[in-house]
Amino acid sequence: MTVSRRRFILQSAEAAGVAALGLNLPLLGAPVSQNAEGLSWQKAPCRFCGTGCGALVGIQEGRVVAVQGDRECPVNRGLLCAKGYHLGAALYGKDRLKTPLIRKGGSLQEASWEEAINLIAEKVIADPDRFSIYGSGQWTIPEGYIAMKFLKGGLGNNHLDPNARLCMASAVTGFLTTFGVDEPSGCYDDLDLCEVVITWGNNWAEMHPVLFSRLIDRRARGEEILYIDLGTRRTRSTEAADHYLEFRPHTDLAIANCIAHQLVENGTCDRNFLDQNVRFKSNDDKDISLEEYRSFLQGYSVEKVSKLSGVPADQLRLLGDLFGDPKKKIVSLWCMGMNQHTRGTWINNLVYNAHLLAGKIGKPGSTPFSLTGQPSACGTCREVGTLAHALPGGRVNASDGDRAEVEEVWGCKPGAINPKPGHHTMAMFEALSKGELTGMWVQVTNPAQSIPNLHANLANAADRFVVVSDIYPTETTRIASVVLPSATWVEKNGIFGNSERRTQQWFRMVEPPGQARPDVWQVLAVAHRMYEMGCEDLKGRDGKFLLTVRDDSGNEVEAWKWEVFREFNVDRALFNEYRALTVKKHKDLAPYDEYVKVSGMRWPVVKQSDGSWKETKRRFVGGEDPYVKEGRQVDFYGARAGDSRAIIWARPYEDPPESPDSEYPFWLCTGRVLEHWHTATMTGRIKELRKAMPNTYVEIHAEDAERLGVKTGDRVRVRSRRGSIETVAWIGGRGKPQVGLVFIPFFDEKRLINRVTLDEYDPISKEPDYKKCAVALEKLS
Amino acid sequence: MSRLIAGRWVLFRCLVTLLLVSLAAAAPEVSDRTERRAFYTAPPTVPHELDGLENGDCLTCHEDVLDLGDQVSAPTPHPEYFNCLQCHVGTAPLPIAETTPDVASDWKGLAEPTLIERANPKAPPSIPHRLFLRDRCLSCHHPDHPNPAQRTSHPERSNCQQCHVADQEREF
Ligand code: SF4
Repeated sequence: MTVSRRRFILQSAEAAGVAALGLNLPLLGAPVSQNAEGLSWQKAPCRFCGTGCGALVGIQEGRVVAVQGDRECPVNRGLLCAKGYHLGAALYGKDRLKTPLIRKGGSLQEASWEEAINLIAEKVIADPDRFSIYGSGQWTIPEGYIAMKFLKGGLGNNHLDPNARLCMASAVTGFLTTFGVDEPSGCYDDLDLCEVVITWGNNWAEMHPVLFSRLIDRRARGEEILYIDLGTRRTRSTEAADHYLEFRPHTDLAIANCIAHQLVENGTCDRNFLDQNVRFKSNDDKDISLEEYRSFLQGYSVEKVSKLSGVPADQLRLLGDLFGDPKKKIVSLWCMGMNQHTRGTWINNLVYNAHLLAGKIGKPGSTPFSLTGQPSACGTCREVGTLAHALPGGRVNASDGDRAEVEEVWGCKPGAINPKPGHHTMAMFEALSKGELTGMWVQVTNPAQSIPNLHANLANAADRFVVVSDIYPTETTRIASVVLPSATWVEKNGIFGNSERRTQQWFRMVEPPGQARPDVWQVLAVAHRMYEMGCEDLKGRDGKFLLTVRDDSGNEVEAWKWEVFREFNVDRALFNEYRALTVKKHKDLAPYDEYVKVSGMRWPVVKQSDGSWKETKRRFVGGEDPYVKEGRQVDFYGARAGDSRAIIWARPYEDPPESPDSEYPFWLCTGRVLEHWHTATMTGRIKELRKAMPNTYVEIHAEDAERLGVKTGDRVRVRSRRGSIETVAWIGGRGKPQVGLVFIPFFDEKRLINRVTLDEYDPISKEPDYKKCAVALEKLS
Repeated sequence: MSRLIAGRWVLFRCLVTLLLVSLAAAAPEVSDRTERRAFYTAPPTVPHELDGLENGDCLTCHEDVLDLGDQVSAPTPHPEYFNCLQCHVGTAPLPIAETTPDVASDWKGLAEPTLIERANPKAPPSIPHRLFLRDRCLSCHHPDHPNPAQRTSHPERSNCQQCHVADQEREF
């Protein structure tokens, strides 16, 4: 492998050199190797989940023909999952959108780019304050960045939010409230070093399969690992677990407090760690003492929590003892189970509490670790900050200083950025329905399938001016006024940021089909058209086009022109501009060209005295993170109080907003399956994946099924207070829910389970709870 | 996983597995390699149902060749990897597969190599794929392999790479 590696770096450096001159990269930028069959290979991260596996993409005759795991990528070491291997086929579905479409007389009709761009520019100019952008954790970093600059720096409104609101908003607010800054301290390497893994409502065998096998393959090598799965349903992950702790939905709040209770009562907290690194706060944000915290915990004794949660007392004690053992190295993992929760922020805080009390954070092999679902939920939504209240690099709209700094880098007129946060996702769709927003541009996501309680939240959306940029027809393009055909993955340049703070870059390798074009270009073209039409909002402080792209010598590049865009690496220019905004909160990124050479680096990435750039494996850890104060083992330097202390919050258990009753006697939990990505816009067009999992189903516990007289294969109606779907029953199948709970995956556009789900959300993170609502089941003949 | 459970349980699971697999009688003969692979070297799809089986069960039949008369299992070239279902997807569980998927696609995967390189006409052929995940040569080249082109004529010689060279630059 050394040979090809050397070649790769050499050629990458050449490519970077070309880029440095401000020239375009050759279409096949940095081939790893090229053989007699005309096949070449280049690196790109996987397009699907937040694991961020490095892939090698095989290109032949201008088409993707194969995808392999990159052995050089430390995330996956040569492996991918079934979605990753089949990713190439996601580009070649027969119904790819290849030309812009405009709704005329009720139907979508083919139009030119010119016509589409003019129409969008006119509509936005007519009502800029009520135009919104709904983006995605699948936005590349430059895509999110340019969309935000256009809306927040240009139009001066903040109605910009990503679908990541539905997926990791609670993780963000969890980090912010506990540590003062977003994103994890630990990294995937901790999976190689831990002795105990605890998953909190997380089926990583299907959702983050490469990380799951990174752990269980250690067992195959003879290592001893204790794996504890906390869940409401048995999954493929549970099969690998030594202990399965089945809890009643929502009682995870009490279970986490029960661990804290045991640590405090048994005297097994890490007192040294607490003295130096932690403060205690009441739920209403008042400083409290350890004694006061202890009395708060009295309600969470093993006996009480066992009764509430249904988890046997000895299993709760097992958790308490493991955390209380100073020698045990523990990793906690979670994703949607904790985030899609009406108390998502609290449960994130509570799991941090357990790790903080036990001092199990900031040590190799011991860390709480929040997984992300989307490939750049971290890189784009959280780091660029494409949220209704946020600005790049951990800044917020509400801060005068933050706004001024961003206006400076963006070259906006002073005061251009509005201090008032925009609508978060759920409020945005409500405002669109009511007409308080008149327009929305949807990019890289499919809300008409993924928003909860669809019927209520998408009402009237089709009457507004909705622009949808996507690669295939979806439920959302059905309600669109304008559909723009996008380029995807290796049809464009891109940069993603994964769950472990790793930023990964790739080059365009093939041409997009037909007239499809990258979203970055689409935004530039619309913005420039508005500028040409005289729109003051799109003028910077120098009176020039606000979104001007410049080459390394500072010359303007007419990137809004497609022929220019294609020949110039706009990603590189935008990324290098954005970099300047990442330093304030210690999320430092290296220059673009550094990422060309490697399979990603974890921030903060800091320049060394010899001129090289060094990544940080573990944040807040002495000897690893350059921002930790000299002599400290751990330094939570993001703490808002400036005291380097993380906060242990006294968050109580609270009942869920809707629970089963006599009319709707079952819990409904929704989720994903290994084969499909989100709403299956891509994976549903891949033969191997679609054949393996053609449609959704409802998992029912065998006892419930018997009572209802339902067998596998029977048709069943699942009904809530909001809506119903019909689907087919599966008993004892892939997952086995607890008695009284049913599970339905949400990928199937023919059976929209989000007609049924609840739209209650966490009041702090505004993330809805897709995991719990009450439904009735009815067997259909 | 079988490492963790008692021998009798293993035996029981073996029987259950065999039963399940034979019930999934859809499993056809291995005739067309390409039908089960999206491209040359893609992880093959599994011609039977997987749900109801557990992860460790795969090796019951696929650790080595298992000849059931009408069906022969394909042995894995990488038994050191445990999470089979990460890469290999199965056939939809029949009772729940309501729709026959119509997947209209222009995907054309990398073709099987037609030309096997040799240093000279009499030299042993070089290896046309990377060895990562595929260094247990006899798994795919055993003398009874359904595809004649893959059979070795000399299974008694176990040090394959003594004569057959692998192109280290290969990425597939
Ligand atoms: S685990 Fe995630 S990133 Fe890795 S190959 Fe699968 S979908 Fe892609």
